[in-house]
Amino acid sequence: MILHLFLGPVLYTFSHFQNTMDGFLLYLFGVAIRDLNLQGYKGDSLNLKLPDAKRVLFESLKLYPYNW
Amino acid sequence: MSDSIRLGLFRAVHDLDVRGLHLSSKWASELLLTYLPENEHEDEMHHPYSEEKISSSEYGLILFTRSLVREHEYQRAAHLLRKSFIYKSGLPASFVGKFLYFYSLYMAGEKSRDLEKSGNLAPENSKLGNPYIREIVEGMYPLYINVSEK
Repeated sequence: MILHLFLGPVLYTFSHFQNTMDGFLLYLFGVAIRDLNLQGYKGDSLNLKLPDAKRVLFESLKLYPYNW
Repeated sequence: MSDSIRLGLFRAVHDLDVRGLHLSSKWASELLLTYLPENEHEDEMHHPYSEEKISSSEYGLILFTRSLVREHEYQRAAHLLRKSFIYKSGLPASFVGKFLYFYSLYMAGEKSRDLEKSGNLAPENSKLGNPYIREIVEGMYPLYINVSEK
């Protein structure tokens, strides 16, 4: 509820990801990147330009505060 | 005839699920799979909990996958979704379908990692990881790139 009070307005203005990913998918992507980094892989070793896991998790939080 | 059976089964899945009869709901949703239309876009419907439109064949598949996830049969759920969509676009069209696919794959990996850790096969101090993490990241990356390039 508190998160929604702070992030509620963002929900309707932040539409960057809404065409191909929703908040749940973004959250899972962030968790997967985190686990991949913990296993010792970086994006370069997979030939991918992976974003920072924390950034993706924060973006998912902005899209879907209830998910947390 | 098959339409009325299909609608009845859709309703049965919902009614059984609401009453906590999860195994019966799973059985009904598995039966529903045999009555789904072969054409993906034959009849689109609104997903009950979101605004997105979803084909009834995908929705039936999602119902069955959801019951598999509830029973912790993650490997089977991921396999079913992968096998169903591999000859179409590669991934389910809806957000819910995509999420269920990647989530069940992730959980299947976590489960197999825990099994390996609990057995005596793993050497001491070994860092066992989720075996499907690379597949998940590589599968989700194109979705992320599509957005970043816009």
